[in-house]
Formats: sequence, structure tokens, C-alpha cells
Amino acid sequence: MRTITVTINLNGADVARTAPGHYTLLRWLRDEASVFDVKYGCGEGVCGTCTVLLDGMVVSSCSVLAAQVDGCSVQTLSGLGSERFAELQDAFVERGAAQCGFCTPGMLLTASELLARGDRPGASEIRHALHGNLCRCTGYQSIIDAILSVSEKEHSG
Amino acid sequence: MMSARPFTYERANSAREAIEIARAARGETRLLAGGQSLLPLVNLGLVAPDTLVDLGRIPSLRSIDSDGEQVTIGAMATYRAVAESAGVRDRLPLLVAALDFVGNARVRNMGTVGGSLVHNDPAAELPLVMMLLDARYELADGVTIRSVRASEFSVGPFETAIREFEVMTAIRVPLPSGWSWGFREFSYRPGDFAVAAAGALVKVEDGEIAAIRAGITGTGSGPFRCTAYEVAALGRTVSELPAVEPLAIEDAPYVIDGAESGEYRGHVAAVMLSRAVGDAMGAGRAA
Repeated sequence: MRTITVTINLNGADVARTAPGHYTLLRWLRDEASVFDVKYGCGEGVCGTCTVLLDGMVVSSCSVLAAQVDGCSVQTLSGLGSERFAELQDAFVERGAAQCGFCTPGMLLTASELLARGDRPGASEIRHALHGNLCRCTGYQSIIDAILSVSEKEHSG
Repeated sequence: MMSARPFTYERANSAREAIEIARAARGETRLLAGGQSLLPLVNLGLVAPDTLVDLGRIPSLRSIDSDGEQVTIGAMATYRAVAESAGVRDRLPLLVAALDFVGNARVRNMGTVGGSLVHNDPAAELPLVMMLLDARYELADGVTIRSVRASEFSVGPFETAIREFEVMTAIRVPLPSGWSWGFREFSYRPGDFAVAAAGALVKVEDGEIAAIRAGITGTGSGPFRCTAYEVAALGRTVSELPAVEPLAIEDAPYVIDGAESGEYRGHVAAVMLSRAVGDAMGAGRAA
């Protein structure tokens, strides 16, 4: 089994780990880099719990090899330190947009990417962006409301 | 955590190098494009390669160029890059509309046009759209490059005309000047595989259909042109469009979306086709 050294700018700091070449980014993050806010859900790129930002864009870390993203920037939930992220967190808490919490990191990262585009997403754009993030608790409406409230706040005044 | 059987990861710096690596490798070797179909299959153990050759670090395969005659899309251009390309948005709105139905945001950020075409999932949107646009695919074997029409590339579900040790390098799409377009897709949930999808390109002269290309995908056997409907539609105006008969679709072996009944799928396909042609006629949108 051949190993490969992958260096990733992980949540703002360069992290190098040597691991087998067939490791997914998800496995590399959890097993090698001890980042546990990224979750394993389906392993098929469908559920969104393993969402990370790759050079600022959402990807499924279960369906990307660590070796594919050698030299890239990866942000997980714990690397999102922006003001926008704090507002999203508050909005999720206020509106009860998290219940068991397993989908929440993926929801927040997906919302962050959507809002970072700066084109004031409305409810339908938010729904479209969240197509690939499954939640089995909330029924989605509270999540959509929470993201919408931040979107509206950012563009008011 | 489901985990792939170990394989060797190789990174190619050119299409030629990818072929050289693949030729030298032992066992089952797969080329890795965006990986949004292949890696889930590997995770599930449905594909168990000995070697994956990554095409992701070959900048020339990512380019998107357009001139007065065609748009040339590098096979490794991501769905998102294509959908956001000004040259594509201006010239190929049918393609942009169809891309909106591909997977989810994560798939569109990572998945590639060439990867989708070579994988040739029978529910995929792009093989149908490329067939309607009469695109040509460039396939390189390290010595020569051959060009294959989209309509001849798709052989069957997950089967194409690409040969072992060939790499798709580019997709050339002629500009559909004078055509208007429609695209419709039905799935149970957004982002799911289509129960059926249909696309249409129409040329209208004096209110009548002077030329039409109409096709369906998602019904199990891959994309196909609806030639009988096309013939029936010629010369018709928007108010005289022929009724689309429910398609005789067999209960599909590849269907994983719960709509196993061929009768139902054939009905949905006919409705999608009818609406796609209506959109192309009604809105009179330039393709």
C-alpha cells in the first residue's frame, strides 16, 4: 500500500500528513488530522454531513481523495471564524434549526458558501443550495428561515 | 466508515502521461476525473480499482473557449465552471439550464463534464444535451486524437465508444444559431436522478417548425432522439403541436429512484417532452 504526503491549508494552517493514497479527504481529516466536526454520513456524496469548503467551494469530503486536493485550502466548521458564521450560529439557535446536530456542520458550511457569493439569496435560492444536505429532524423550514434571516440582515440598511 | 479497498493513486501531468501510467499499471486501472460518480462507487465496493490515475492537475483540460463557431469545453472543466462561464451562458443556454439539474452543489463544484460523458449514467443530463447540440468529443490515445459525435459515443447504459487507454480531452459544441430551446426534468426530489428528462431545440420559420431535435433521457436506456415525434412536428405551429404518445418504456434495470414502472416512466417522459417543446416554441428563446 503506497503512502503519499498530502499538505493542506487546513482551517488556516498548513498541515502535512502521510497516509495511504486511497484515503478520502474525510478519512484523512478525521483519522490523520483529528478534525472531528466533519461527519461521515452516507459515503456516496448524497447526504452532505461530510461537507467541507475546498478553496471556498462546498464539496463532499467522502467523495474526494485527500491526494486530489494536495496543496489546496480546506475549511471545516471549526475553521469558519467569520462574523457571518457567528450570525448563522445565532440564527440557527434562535430558530431551533438544529436538533440532533449531525447535519448541522454541513448546513452551516453550505449556507456560508451561498451567502459568501453576495447575491442576497431568497428562500428559493436557499432551498436550491440545500438540495444536497439531508436533515432527518427539523423538516428544513427552520434551517431555511435561519439562513434567510441572515441573508436579509446582511442586505438591509 | 465504509472504506475503499486500497489502491494506488497516481497523478498525471498531461493526457499523454495519464495514458502511459495506465498502460504500465497492472490490474484494473481507472482514470479519475472529478470522481463524483467513481469515488462513491469505489466507496461502495462496486468498483475496485488497483490504480486510479488522477487527471485533475492538467490545466489544459480545464479550459473553456469560444469563438464564432463553437464552444470548446475542456473535459475536466467542472459543471460549475461551465455554468458560470460567460461564453457558455451567452451561447449555450440549453446546457446551462440542464446543468442546474446535475446532482447537488457539491457535485457541481467537483464533477466534470468529461467525467459525466464517459461515465454515461443513463439518467445523466449531459449526454442528452450534447446529443441535441450535436457536440463532438475529442479522444486522445497518446499518439492521435479522434473525434466522435455525441450521438455515436453513447452505446448503452454506462457504455461508450471510448477505448481502453483513451482519454477524453475536449468537447466541441457548435453554436446552435437560430435555434430556440427547452429543457424539462422530473424527479421526486430536487437533485435526485431524473424519472425522465427531455430537451428540445427548435427552428421556427413563419411560425412553423422548420427543424427540430427532441430527445429524452432518464428512462433507463440512456439518451435517445424521438425521431417519430420530430417528423410529426415538422411544419406545425405552436397550436398544432402533435400529442406526444406515452413512450413504451420497459421496466428499467438501472432504475434506483423508486419509479420502477415502465408505464409510469413512459408517461412522465412524454409529458416532459411535450413541455420542453412547448417551452422552445412558446418562449421563442434563442439557443
